[in-house]
Amino acid sequence: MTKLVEWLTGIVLIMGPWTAVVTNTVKNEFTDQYFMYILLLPLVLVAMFGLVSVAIIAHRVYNFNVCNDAAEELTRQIKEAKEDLKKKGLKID
Amino acid sequence: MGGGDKYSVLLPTYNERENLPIITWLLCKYFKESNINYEIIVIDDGSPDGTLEVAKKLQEIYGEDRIVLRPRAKKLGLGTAYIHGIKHATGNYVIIMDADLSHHPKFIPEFIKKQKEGNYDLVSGTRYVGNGGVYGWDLKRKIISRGANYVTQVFLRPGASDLTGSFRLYRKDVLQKLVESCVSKGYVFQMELIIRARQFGFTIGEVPISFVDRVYGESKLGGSEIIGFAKGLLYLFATT
Repeated sequence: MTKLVEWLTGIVLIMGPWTAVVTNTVKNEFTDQYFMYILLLPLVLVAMFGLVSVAIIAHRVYNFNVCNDAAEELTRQIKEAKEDLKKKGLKID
Repeated sequence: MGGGDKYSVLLPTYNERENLPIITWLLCKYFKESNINYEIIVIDDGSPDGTLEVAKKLQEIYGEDRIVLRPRAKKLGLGTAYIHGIKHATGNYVIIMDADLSHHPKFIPEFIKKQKEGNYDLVSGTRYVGNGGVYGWDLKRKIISRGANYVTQVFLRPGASDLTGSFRLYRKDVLQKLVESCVSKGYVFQMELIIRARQFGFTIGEVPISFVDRVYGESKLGGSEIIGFAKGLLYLFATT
């Protein structure tokens, strides 16, 4: 099963019953009482997913590890390498 | 370390006249210190800046068994560079990395150790986990990186934290099989390698790495790269 098929299956499983309720194909006390909530549910879920995603990404960007030590070490080692290679006969500008 | 194992580093180069000596020096230093049997295969795509001449001088210093030159006439892309490199690799393991000093050879002994620990088919360097990280990125670049990675995780659930990274260790036959089955280019090529690895049931280990970006100002991450990424993501979403 490809990811596309997985997602389509999930969407159908949720939107199937939802469509049935919203088009009054399925109708009972519960659906009558909560009709507006059911109608808006997919929108709310997508909005929540969007908000949670933004929060996760923001958190990860904020905590993105910055490797200052690695940069310093590299600068040092570049110098060391150039000197050593010069001794071995390779000149780098 | 590891009786009989040999590690072939594939180094595709284009205009790396200044960086090639440094990366070679670092590779040889860390391999020698850890007593690892290795070779460095330089795949130069006809660099106009004289990279190949520098590579030949490095061959004189380190030996033709350690520095192997397999140049090509012009820029032909990373996938074919890997195929070309694998054909000439005499090691049973292959290491893929960038030649511009963004990937540091000091992590290679850690890759090797990790691979042996879990008998992994491939080990991927990750910038997003543990004390992995990046130097030289501004806020915009970090947002794009984390955002793209998040979208990829949600839609592809790849089982690896850093999909677009290109600092990895593979069993040679595993990389061969993967490259033959991949069709994408650029960032998406690296993503597809991991996704296909999962598809084929290969095991993946991870090692945190630091990525030092010294070319960020010069390199582009513009609209066309982002569109290319989205198209590639869609392709993988629909076919795997």
